[in-house]
Amino acid sequence: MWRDLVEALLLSSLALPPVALSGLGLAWLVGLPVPEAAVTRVSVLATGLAAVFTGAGAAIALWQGLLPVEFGPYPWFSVGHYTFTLSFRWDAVSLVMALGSTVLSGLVVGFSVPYLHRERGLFRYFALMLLFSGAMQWLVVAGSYEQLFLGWELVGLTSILLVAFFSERAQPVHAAVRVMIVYRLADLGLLIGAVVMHQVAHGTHFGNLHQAHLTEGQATAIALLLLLAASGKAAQLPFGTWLPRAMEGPTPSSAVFYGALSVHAGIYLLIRSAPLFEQSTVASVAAVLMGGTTAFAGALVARVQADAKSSLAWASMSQLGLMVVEVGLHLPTVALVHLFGHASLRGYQMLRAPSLLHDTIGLRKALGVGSLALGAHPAPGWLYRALRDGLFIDVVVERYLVRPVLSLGGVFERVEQAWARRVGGELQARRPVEPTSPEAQEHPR
Amino acid sequence: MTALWGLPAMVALPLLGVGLVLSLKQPRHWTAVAAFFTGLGTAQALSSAVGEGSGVSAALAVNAAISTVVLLGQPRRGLTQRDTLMPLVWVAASAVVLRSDDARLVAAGWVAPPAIVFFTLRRLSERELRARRVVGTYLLLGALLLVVAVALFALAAAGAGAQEPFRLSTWRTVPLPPHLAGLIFLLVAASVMARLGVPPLHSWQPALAEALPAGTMLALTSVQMSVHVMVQLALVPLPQAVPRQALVVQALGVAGVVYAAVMAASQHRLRRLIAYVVVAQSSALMVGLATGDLVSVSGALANAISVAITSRGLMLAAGTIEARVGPVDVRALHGLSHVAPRLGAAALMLAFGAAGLPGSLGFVGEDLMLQGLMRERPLVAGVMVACTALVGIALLRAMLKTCFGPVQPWAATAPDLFPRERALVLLAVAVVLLGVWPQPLVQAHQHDVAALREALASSEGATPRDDGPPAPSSADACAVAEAARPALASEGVALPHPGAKPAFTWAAHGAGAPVADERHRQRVGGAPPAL
Repeated sequence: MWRDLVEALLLSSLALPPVALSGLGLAWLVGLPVPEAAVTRVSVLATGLAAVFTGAGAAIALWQGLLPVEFGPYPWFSVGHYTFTLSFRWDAVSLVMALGSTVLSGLVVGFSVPYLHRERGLFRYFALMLLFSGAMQWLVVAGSYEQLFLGWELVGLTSILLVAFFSERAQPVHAAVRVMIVYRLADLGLLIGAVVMHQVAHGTHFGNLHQAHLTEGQATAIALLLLLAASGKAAQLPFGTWLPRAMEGPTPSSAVFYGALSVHAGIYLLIRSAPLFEQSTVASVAAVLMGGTTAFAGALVARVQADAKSSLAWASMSQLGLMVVEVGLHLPTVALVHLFGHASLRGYQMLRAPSLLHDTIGLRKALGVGSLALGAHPAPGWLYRALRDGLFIDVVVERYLVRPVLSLGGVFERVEQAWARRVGGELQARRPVEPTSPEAQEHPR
Repeated sequence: MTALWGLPAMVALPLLGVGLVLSLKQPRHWTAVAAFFTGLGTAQALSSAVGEGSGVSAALAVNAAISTVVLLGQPRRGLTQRDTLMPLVWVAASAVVLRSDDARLVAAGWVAPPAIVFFTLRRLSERELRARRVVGTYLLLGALLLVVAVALFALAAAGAGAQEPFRLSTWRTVPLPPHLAGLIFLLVAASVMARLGVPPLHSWQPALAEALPAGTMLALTSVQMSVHVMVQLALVPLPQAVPRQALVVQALGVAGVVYAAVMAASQHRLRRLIAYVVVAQSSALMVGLATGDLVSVSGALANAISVAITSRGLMLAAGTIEARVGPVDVRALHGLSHVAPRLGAAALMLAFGAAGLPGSLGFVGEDLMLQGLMRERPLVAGVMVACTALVGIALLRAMLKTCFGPVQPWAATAPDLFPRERALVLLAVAVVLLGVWPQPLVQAHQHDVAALREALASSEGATPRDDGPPAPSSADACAVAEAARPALASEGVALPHPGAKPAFTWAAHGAGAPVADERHRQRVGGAPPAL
């Protein structure tokens, strides 16, 4: 009976945000008036109840000693003997994450109500926060890699759309595009890794990971693919430069995505995959190297940033790097504790970031000093420039990866146009609108 | 009464609509009448799907619904009678191709849409004449290849003493010499690739996407029809005689995905970009089909429905945007969501569906295709996934830039969706709904999968890996195989080791596996084990 109750609470907490989103979204799409009060109340209610249900379910599960417990399988779609089943797993790791995810989401949604009052894109913001809340909860209670991928992608999608939230300016849109590119490329690792695991281990359930009879080569391949995926989401070098750019979004969403939850999804994936890293020395060394490099570089770059949110972003990368190192050293429990502490602190710091000036002035008054400036940086000029520009990673990627692909596309395009003219002549309807805006001139591609 | 809901009614209703539209003089009446008949067709197909549990009817309902949305949503300016007739013709042709067991009817339904477009493009302008040349070169000639294939197969069937040489369901039993089987397979595949726009037969897609209205383009791109023809006229009747040809098709498909991904990444014009996205998706479909794995083929068939919805929806959205602000260069147009939020939201949702994000039907199809491909050809699967991601990046980048950013002065007064255009929202919602509850449409083409399963099971005594009975992989079968291994090895025949690729793949058959199978049958008896 208790098990059934916990299952009902968990499924309800999963369903509430998407149901609220569907109701609001359909009403808006068909043209019904959706006032601000309705949007905010429904959002607060849905995320708040999700947190309450999760908390109640967790309390009952702990009280009754049900952990670890798995709910399902629920078949989603099937073809012949292949069935995509859904199952939800609650153990120590997912319980911590689920509680953190729902409580922080609920708090940030509540914080956002006055913060975004009468903001133009308020409906879009709360719709995306509802989607994020449901997706994040799905991600952390998913019972398998394939199922985790669903929440993983939706978390990424909401992240991209919220970075582009203040889209009256061009810069947030460029930042969102950059985030989207990194996410899509890194997510390949999770997708391919999950499918490979399905093929070699005949399943991807977390509960069976310890019993999966994988060779070291198989474990290495899968672990490296998952490390690729985690490095995208957790902003590890060389993919991590999207994180400072992502600070273009509203502060509450930055707090919940890049301070508290979304970036930690990558670490959660690695913690879940700890048995694979234990089987593979190569993958463990790769994790330590990647995490260590990011931690070192992030700590240095954070010191020369001129704005608070960028500095926090690089500092987050540094801490996330340390968590990757901990997983690489086969200390997943340490990483989990580190994750929870960092998510709480960084989320708070992000939320306070707009008040930094106010806080500084208050601190100055309290200390009775005129200035809190730290003085000149002791680093040599070349190092300072390199750190300020994020170690030139973006420049290198642009020059040696993006441009060659676009150049190749240009060559193909000319050949294609020549062939099309030969077959049917020029068929283009009218000349497209010329890129006359200053933004288009500034960012031609 | 039953006949009323069968094939004749599904064809007769749209054709009745064609007759009525032709008899009307007022352009404003054309769309209303055509949409009424496609709507009626949707209801009829849906009732058939629900009442009989018919998967084909579900697929036809999707086609008819897409036609209705396109008819309602396509911009009115410059609309010709052909643009309102072609969706009706397409619905009728789809019904014939998807439901008929007569190869002559299938070929007629296959040829009719491009032929009608070809012959109606001759009167208006120099531009239309150019478009006509493209249609004739790629689509009409491509469609005629299928006619040749059908004629060759029927001749061979008649020569073999078949009572009904044009009956598709009997073709599987017709013995064909390998070279003729290979030729027919390639003819069918080439015809399908031309219709889908798989490189190198793709150039019509970007060219016509910019030149023709949505209604006419709808009739030329027939994704569901194409995959059905590929399964029923090539994969099912020729399951094992064509391993090398299937490899050729698969290689072309992979090259097509790579090419289209690079092209999509370098496009500035929205319609061309969407066209290349469709080219990439179509190429991926061919890869999935040519694998021959049942899960992969099922994924390709499910993905075909997703591609049909998202590609038409995106083209319609592009047309709707262009009706407001002129042809779109994604470097110049920004901030659409500020001035037309519902249009922007619908376009974004369709783009997410086309990129195969979770919660869309595209994700389901891609997952199934990937499961099959990863087992058979992991490298191909990796390349395909990477290129599909690149295509998704190109599309999402364009849509993000179009929907967000500072509004341009010349676009600031663009209106949001008009009531009739809100049909576009239906397509966007359908992408999500079908992604959340995909099973009905995953089952839509199960008759194709069932036919393929049967064909694979009956060919050479081999058993399909995924949908067939699991007995061949049992421990007994493995023990028998292990016992026979030394004897076979002494003759230079190697059995696959446990954990190696499944016994029944076309690649394995092409590389000498039939010989091993035959020798195994002589020594051990029964079907060779799938290890």
